[in-house]
Amino acid sequence: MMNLQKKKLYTLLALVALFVILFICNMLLSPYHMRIINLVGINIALVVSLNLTNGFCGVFSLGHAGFMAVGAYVAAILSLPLVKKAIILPELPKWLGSVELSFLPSLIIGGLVAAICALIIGYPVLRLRGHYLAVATLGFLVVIQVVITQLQDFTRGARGINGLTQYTNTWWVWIFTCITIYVVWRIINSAYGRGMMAIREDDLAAEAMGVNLTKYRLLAFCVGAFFAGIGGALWAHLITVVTPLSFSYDRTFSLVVMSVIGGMSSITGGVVGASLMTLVPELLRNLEVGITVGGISIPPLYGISQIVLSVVLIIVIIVRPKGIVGSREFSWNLFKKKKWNTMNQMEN
Amino acid sequence: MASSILEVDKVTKYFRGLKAVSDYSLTLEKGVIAGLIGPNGAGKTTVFNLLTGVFTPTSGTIRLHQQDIAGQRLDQIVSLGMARTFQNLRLFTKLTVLDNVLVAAQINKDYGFWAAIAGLPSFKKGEKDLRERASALLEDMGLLHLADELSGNLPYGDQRKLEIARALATGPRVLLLDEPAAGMNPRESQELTETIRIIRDKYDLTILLIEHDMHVVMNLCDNIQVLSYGEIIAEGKPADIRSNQQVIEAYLGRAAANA
Ligand SMILES: Nc1ncnc2c1ncn2[C@@H]1O[C@H](COP(=O)(O)OP(=O)(O)OP(=O)(O)O)[C@@H](O)[C@H]1O
Ligand SMILES: [Mg+2]
Repeated sequence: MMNLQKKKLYTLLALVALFVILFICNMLLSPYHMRIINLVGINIALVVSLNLTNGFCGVFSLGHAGFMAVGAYVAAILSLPLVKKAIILPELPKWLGSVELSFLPSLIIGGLVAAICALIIGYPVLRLRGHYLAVATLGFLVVIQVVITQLQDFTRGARGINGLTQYTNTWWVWIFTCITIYVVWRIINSAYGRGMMAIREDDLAAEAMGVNLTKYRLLAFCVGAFFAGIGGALWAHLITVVTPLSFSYDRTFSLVVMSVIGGMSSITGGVVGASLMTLVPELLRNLEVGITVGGISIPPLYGISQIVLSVVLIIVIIVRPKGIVGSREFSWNLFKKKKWNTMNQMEN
Repeated sequence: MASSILEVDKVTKYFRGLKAVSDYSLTLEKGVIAGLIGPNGAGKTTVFNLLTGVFTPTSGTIRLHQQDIAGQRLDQIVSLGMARTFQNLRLFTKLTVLDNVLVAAQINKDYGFWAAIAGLPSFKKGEKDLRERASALLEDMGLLHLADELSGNLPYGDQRKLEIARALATGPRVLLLDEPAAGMNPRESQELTETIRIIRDKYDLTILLIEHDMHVVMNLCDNIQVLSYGEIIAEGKPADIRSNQQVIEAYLGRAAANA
């Protein structure tokens, strides 16, 4: 075991290193590459927050994309410059039409509204024994699409809201990512997280040990939705457009796939799954248009990334059904142990 | 009687026509160790499930500290001071031994959600207190050296003891033990008998236990109830029960049929 002080120091150093690297990337890399790096950050936050609900607490939510949509639209409407707002959304009620919040409060309110939606869906459903949440959240995805399409005055319906200010940059994204990881880590290392894991293991026994099932499940679900809401808002202000189709089933499923591939009940698993499944498809996308490697030209392989991803998913599920990382967690002790082993080997 | 801590009056439970427990009554005086015995399928575990809120009684009343608890949720009943162990072990097998106890100990945690997220001093102190309490309980049950093991990896006997440590962590006044000595050898169950007495004194408990091991029951219990086909067929001191004709028949009848 390493002492706590040292671990804190290492974590701090790692954070500094991360932001130095991001700073350098920001100077050197093209906007296209920076966008990928930012998407990696957002996806990490989304998957880690999804893991709190689905992995640690064991209530299977498919609603993440819906909460992203809620956060994205709320933040977009709140932060839209007044001049633009008057043109794009002239029918907004006065109290909304005359506010223009800066980005941070818009994000937070977006997250909070998403969390409130989670509370409204979750309260009736999570009181029941059994896995009704997956169905309920799937229904929520449908409902939210319909609502967004119908609420023309607020959302411009199917046309979506475009021309959002591109507030989201590397710093917003990665600070959000770090905060999400920190909060989830704090939760799982407290009585709240232990209660959630107990519920996942055996809900009757957890309840018989005094864990209030509804309260803890709702907590996990709402915290997940809060971060999904902010993630959606960041996403919208990176792409600068939101439409009802921005956050549909495929978004939820790709997040669930990332979570399953990395490891559902582990923060590290979320980070690994999200990074891998964001980066690999981007690399594969190059193959789809055809490239030349060392004089050998590879013809365009349309759809190859989908095929490779599906194969990867199948292989991971067969070989490591608990995901690449499983339920283990990164720890600085890993390095110490390795060092210790190599030292032992040197002595031999 | 002011000193009776648990009063059960004519509790009945049907499962779709099957009468699992009928007119079960019990008065537990403070500090007593009471036994509940009977052949397999007699309804003993069902009684525990009724007391702890897993099932709602079809009829009858259950009063803990003079408060009617029939129909309340499990976690509400636990917080009123009645905890249990499970006959067919229900540990959180993928959590460590310590975490199993910590899950139960949180009922008395004194920090809130925001303090936990911000890592405030109240959270750190609260966690330290929880850990100390949990460690003390593991020590009582002789499991402290296994604190960091996954509970699912423990030998059977230790898992049974962990069930008790976990139930104790909720800070109960009434403790219900469902076959705590099942699967233990005579030496282990002898030790367990001692341990149960010790924790009763140390934590000021009132205990109701279900047990097939007659050494444990006769040794430990002040009063015994015998259940057969959901009905109490005898009730009294260990010596009376041992010589009760109906009880012998209930048990011997079964043994004879099995032979
Ligand atoms: N949830 C349930 N649904 C239907 N029937 C049940 C249920 N739980 C128990 N029973 C029935 O109630 C009766 C009493 O079961 P119970 O588990 O209380 O017996 P027991 O005295 O604890 O037996 P053992 O000594 O084997 O543990 C049995 O016939 C059992 O099949
Ligand atoms: Mg039983």
